[in-house]
Amino acid sequence: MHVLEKSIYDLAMHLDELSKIVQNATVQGRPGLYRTLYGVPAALRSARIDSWDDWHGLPLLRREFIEKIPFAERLFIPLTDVDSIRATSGTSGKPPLFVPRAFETRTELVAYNLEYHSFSRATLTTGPLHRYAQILHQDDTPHAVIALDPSHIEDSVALAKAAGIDSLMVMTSILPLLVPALVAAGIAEDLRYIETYGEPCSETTVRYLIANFPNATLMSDYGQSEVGGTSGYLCRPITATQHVEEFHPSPGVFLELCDHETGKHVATETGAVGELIATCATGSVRAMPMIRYATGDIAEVTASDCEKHGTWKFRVIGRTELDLVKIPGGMLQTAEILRVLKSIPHRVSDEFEAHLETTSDKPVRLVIHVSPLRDDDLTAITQIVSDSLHVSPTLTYSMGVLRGIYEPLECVVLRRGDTISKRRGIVRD
Amino acid sequence: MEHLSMENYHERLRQASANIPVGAFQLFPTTFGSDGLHTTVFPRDPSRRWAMLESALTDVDRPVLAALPSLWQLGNVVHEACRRHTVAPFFVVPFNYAVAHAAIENLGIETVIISKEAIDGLARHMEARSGHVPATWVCVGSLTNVRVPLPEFVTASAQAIYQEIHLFPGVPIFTQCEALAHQKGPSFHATSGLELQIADDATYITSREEYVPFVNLEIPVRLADESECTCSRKAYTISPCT
Repeated sequence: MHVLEKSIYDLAMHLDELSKIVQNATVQGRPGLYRTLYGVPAALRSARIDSWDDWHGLPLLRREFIEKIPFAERLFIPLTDVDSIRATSGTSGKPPLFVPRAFETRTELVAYNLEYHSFSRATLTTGPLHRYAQILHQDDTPHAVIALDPSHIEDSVALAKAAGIDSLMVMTSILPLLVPALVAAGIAEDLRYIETYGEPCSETTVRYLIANFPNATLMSDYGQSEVGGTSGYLCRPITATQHVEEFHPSPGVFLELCDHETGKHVATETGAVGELIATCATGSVRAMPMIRYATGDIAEVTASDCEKHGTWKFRVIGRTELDLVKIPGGMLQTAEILRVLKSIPHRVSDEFEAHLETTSDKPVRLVIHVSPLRDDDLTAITQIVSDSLHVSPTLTYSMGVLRGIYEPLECVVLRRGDTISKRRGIVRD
Repeated sequence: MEHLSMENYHERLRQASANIPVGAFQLFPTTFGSDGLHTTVFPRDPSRRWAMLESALTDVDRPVLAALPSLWQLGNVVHEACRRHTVAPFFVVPFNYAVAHAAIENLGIETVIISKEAIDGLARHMEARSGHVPATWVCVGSLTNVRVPLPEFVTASAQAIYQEIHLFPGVPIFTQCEALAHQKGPSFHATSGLELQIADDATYITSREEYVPFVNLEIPVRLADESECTCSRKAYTISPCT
C-alpha cells in the first residue's frame, strides 16, 4: 500500500471532503465559475452537499463552459501566486484552454514512481522542464532533468547522454523517433525506467520498448493538463504479458464514472464503462479547482477492488467525442473497435486506424488498418471483427452488411509510417 | 597570445562531460539546434541568474510568454526568474505561432521571451491578424544570426526589445541594459565577468568563472567601439566576420 497523505480512499469515504471543496469553490467572494454552473442564488452563501445524491446531482464541468469565462475570472488564487500557465495539448483540434497552476512539490505526486526508480541520476522528458525539476527534486539526492525537444531529437539525445540519463518520462507519440536515436547513441541499455503519457502504449509499442530497453521498468501515466497532469497511476509495471495499462486514481484526485449520454453516475463495479469525471482542488490545481470535470475519456473498470492497492482500477478505452461517428443503424466507436481487437490478442495488436466513407446514396464503407501478428491471417481477422463489431446493442457490422447498409468490411495492414496520432482513431475519408 | 578555437573548446567540453557531478550544474547544449550527435554539454553553476531577463521583468505584472526551443534547457532559468518577479510564465513551442498568439490575446501578455529564429514568424502571424504587439520583448540570438534584423512590425510598436547574443544557449556573452533595449538597436554590452580582446578580424573572449573556463576563445564577430552608454558601460556594435 502506498503511503499517501490524502488518499483517494479518504476522499471517497469522506463525503465531507468533497462537500468542503464545493463549499470553498462557491462561497461568496470567490470567482463565480461554480456559482454560475450550479445556479447558486446570490443570497446563498455557498452551495451545500449533504449526500452522495447531492454530489451526483452537481452539473458536470465541461471544457466548453470554462472557455467562456475569461482567464482572470477563473483564478482562485492571486495572479502573483500563479506558478505557471499551461495549455491543453490541442490534439482535439480545438483552440487551447489556458490553465493556471499553483506551485507544486514532489511530495506524494511521484510516490508511485519512487517504488520503481530512485531518480538519482538524470531524466529526459518531453514535459515542462521546470515542473519535472520541481517534482523530481529530492532533498538530499542530486538529480538532473533534461528537456527533450521533439524538433531536435538527436541533439537532445546527445545532451541526455552527456548528462548520464537513466530514465525517460515522455509522450508516447514521440517514441518512434526517440527510440532509434537512443539506440544509435548507445545508451538504450543504460535506461532503468521509462514512463509514457499522452496516450496508451499499444501492445506493439510495448514489445518494441521491451526489445530495445531490456533493463528498463515500463510505466505509464494517465492525466490531463486541466487536472494537474496526473489523474491515474499505474497498478503495476507494463510487461510483455501484462501490457494492459490499468490505473488507480491518483492521490488527491477523486475519479468517478458517468454515463456519457445521460450524465448519470455509474458505479465503479468490475466491467462498468463510463466517462471519467475528475475532481481535484489540491496541489497545483488549487489555482483553479476542478470539480466533476468531464475528461472526455471513456474508461472501463477492470477491478472494483484491487488486491494490491485496495481500490478500483480502470483502463482507458477511448474518447467521448473524437471517436464516435454516427452511421446508419447506430454508432461506430473507437472503444468498440478496440474491444474487438483486444478480444483476439493472439491474432492482432490493438493499434488501428479506421477509415470511414459515408455518403447519402451509397452503403457505408469501412476500412480498418490493423497490425496482424501473421500476414496470412487478415481474412480471418476481417471476418471476426465484422461479426463482433457492434454499432448498436442489436446490430453488428456483419448484420448491417446483410441488410445492405454497409459494404463488406475491409482490414488492411497498418504501415509503420502512418501518423501515430491517428492510431486508435476514426478518420473520415 | 594563445588563442582557443571553438573546435578545441568543444573538445574540452566533451572531455569534461564525463566527469560532471550529477545534479551539480545546469546543463546547456553546445548547439542551438543542428549539431546532432556532436552536441555536448556546457555545465553552469545553477545559482547563476539570467540578469537581462530579470531586468526586463522588473515591474511586469502580467503573465509572460516564453517561446524558446526546449533543447536550450532554459525552462528552469526562465521559471525561476519569473517566480522571483511573481509573474507566471506560459511556455510554448517556438514555432507554434497560433498558440503563442492566442496566449498573447487571452492572457493579456505584454512580455515575450523568444528566439531570434522565431520572432519573425510570430510577428508575421500577428501582423496578418492585426494582433496586439506586446510592449516588451526579450530576444535571444546566437553568433550566427547577429546581422538578422528584427521584424519591423515588432520594432515599430514595442516599447523595449532586450536583445542578447549567447555563446551557447543559456550562456550570454553580449547583452543589453534597459537603455539599449529602449533604443531597439544592434548595440550591446559585454556580459559581466567577460574579458574582451578586440582585433581587426575577430574577437577573443575570456571567462574564468565557468566550470570549463575559456581563455581567448575566438568568436567570428567584429566589435566596433561605440560611445559610453547611459548605464556607464561601453557599448559595441557587432557584425559578423566576412
